[in-house]
Amino acid sequence: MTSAAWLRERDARAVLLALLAILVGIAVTPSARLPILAVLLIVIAVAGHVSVGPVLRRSAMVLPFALFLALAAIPARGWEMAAVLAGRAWISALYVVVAVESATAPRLFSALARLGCPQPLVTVLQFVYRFVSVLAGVASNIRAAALARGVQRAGRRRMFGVAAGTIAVLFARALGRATRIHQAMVARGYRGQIPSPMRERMRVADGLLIIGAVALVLTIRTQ
Amino acid sequence: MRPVISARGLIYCYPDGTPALRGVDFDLHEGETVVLFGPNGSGKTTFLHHLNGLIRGEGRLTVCNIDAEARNLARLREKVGLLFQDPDDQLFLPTVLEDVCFGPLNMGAEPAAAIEIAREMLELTGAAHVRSRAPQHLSAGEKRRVALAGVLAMRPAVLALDEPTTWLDPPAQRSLVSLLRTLPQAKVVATHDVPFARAVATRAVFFDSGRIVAAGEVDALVERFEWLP
Repeated sequence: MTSAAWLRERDARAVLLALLAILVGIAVTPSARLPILAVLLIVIAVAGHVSVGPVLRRSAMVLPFALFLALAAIPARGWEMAAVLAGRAWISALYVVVAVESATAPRLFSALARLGCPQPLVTVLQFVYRFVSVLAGVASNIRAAALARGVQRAGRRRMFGVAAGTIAVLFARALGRATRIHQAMVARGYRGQIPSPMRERMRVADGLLIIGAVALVLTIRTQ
Repeated sequence: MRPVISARGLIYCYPDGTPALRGVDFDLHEGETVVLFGPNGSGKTTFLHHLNGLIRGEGRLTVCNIDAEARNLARLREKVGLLFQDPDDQLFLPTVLEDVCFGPLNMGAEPAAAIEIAREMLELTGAAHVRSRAPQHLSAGEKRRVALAGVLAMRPAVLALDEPTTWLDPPAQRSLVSLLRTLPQAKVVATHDVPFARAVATRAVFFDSGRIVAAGEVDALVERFEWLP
């Protein structure tokens, strides 16, 4: 079995628990030892045959927030600590993206529910995953319709007004969509819980993954 | 023979007071496929939603001898499979297999049994090859087949289909016609698609302003109401 297949066959609960251990590790590890966790990430990504481009692109979504917090921290903590703060956030995001790549989002949702995560939170995550592309399509259609009627020639103030209106329309359409989805769920017997047929079984290798992650973090932290 | 669906004097007003159904009498018998014609806003979808208990108005409605009352809603939803116009409203779970399992699991099936039913229905509807995929990555035809599999997985006695050919290309429409002809359930189909109606219907009714104003052969109604593009 290849290392990539080994990673993808892990129980998603084990992946989440190992990820949690590493995220805690990133938060508490002295900054001088952070590169060890970064190197480990590269090893995991290479072993898992994870595509570097998409991982970097997705993880970059955290950078605006991380950089904002880092800038806010500069007056009190200095440039060096601000850079470390941003670095910790980015490495954390990279680990999360690699974990999602290796376990797939649907298996992670099921794992979250089985680990005791509140059902409403899991449901919201599932719905965001499922419908964000639908809403993005609606937003794209609205933008195309506005451009087709020459909105770009009307000036920035007018465009700002159109953008604000688009958000209102999107909200209304999302509400309408949500109502119809709820009706469709009720029509198939929904009674407040979304049951999952997914049943993964923890194996020895899954336990080793969790223990390995915890041991690694403790080792780096205490050395 | 008792009808599988019997509606008498069905009346429904939207919460804002707009009347949607103004006294609908309708029977559906086993083996029948009845097409609902009528202008937009004439009450076809509202009527279909009554069959599944999604909305309840005044009048009498029985489905497979079950009265459409609050205490019977769970049984009613097992009997009537409702296919929505937009499959994106119906397919909300992260994978196709999970979505098709949703109905059987709600009815109390064990996960292994639900997966077995889901696989069977995906096979039946010709969508077995997409069972591990995310619904948002399917074509319109595939989404329609998966949505139908999700409805059939509840083993309904009646199928209520709302504009099932919307967004389907001609080959996908032909494929849907072939599939519907193989399904033994009685069917009520709201549609504007006359060729599709001709291909599947045993008879038709015409809705207008919340009432059934005519019933008969598809071609007779199409001619009477000039219902061709």
